[in-house]
Amino acid sequence: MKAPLLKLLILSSLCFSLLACEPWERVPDFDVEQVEGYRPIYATESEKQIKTLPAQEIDDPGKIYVINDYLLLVDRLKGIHVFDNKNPENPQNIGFIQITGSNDVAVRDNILYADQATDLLAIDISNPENVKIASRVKGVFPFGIQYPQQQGVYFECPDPEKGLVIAWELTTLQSPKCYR
Amino acid sequence: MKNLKLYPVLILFTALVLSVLTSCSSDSEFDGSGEGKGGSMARFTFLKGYLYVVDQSTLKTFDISNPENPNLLGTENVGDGVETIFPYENYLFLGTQWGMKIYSVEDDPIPNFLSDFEHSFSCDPVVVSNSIAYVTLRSGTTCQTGENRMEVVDVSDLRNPRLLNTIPMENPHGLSVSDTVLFVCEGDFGFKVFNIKDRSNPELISHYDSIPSYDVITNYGRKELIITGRNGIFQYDYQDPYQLKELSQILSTQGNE
Repeated sequence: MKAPLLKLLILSSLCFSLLACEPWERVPDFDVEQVEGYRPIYATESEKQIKTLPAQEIDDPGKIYVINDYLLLVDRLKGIHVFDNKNPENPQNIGFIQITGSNDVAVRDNILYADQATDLLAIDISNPENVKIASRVKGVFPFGIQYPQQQGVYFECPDPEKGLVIAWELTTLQSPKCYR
Repeated sequence: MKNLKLYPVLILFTALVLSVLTSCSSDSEFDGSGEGKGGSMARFTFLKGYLYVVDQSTLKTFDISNPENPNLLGTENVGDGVETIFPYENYLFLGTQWGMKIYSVEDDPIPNFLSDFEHSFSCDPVVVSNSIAYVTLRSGTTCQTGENRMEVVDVSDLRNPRLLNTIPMENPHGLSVSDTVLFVCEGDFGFKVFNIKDRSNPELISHYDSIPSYDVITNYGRKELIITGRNGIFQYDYQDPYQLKELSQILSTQGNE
């Protein structure tokens, strides 16, 4: 009686510790063959550039940030919408800073700090029409957002060799190895 | 001759028009000076000129005196499931899946652990005002055993936080305190306004159930509220918290559908 219980305990603590270190689980090979799930879409060279683009419609709103009369809104994994909010009754969408793979933002003294997958970026925004990377600290974030927003889904494990994940598409997967 | 006499006047006039024009355009120039303010779901914050960043299990301190070369001063292991960071006086409040953690940066830019307020496994941001922390706990698939509720915690003794009250919620996300008003985002269930004149006993004033909300920022000076959610950005005037006045909406692709 004691042995199975011990096994269960070890197994469950193992699962638990695995869960604790990774925001997703590895699924065993035999678990599923063909199943609906998410496949990562990787950034193209042009999408990897940090640059100012014309104002865009909000697609997947994330975190917000206020600096002086300006309101910043993260579009998950795509970049940051910039609104002139001098008059909150009529905010103006004035531009979009493309930071592919980003989720978080903070601004101090005309420098915008953002994450890009596993890196921390400092971006000079004193001329918002032409933003420039002031610096990049590599490998600050262990995971980045390398998994789909959806939960309780299978997905193709992202391959760091292929670069930045910018979106997830729903498709049919063959024996996916990741689940969350 | 007549025309010649007019020249100086013309030049003056042109200069005047030009100066007005340029002053107008410099008015609308982007101003990113000073420090901004994030919502309660933030993972980045500034305190005393340093940048603090939380990820899954660590709290990192960056010296950003030279933005061309941010210097990682330290990485504290803070346990798993760190979700948010909130600055309050000389302290950092971390919202984690296990509870709230309090760190001090009073004597050293590298945070010093003060205390831990544990609860069941949930996802939770935290905000602090007048020595009271408001912590929301939300269930979700990754936080399976979580309950939906808000905890009111006395943090006047930072080394010994004390639970004062628990308020049932639906699916709380970000929150913000402005003086005696507390705003709480309820995800797809809208957002709620609480009167916190009695700090330990939030009293529900109203529930706006048609505005899905994820995070909120209050502008104390202007008594303006910025709410974001999957339908976009919604701004309100809360001079009278019992009667919010909508200022504007910026709809997202989804909100437009």
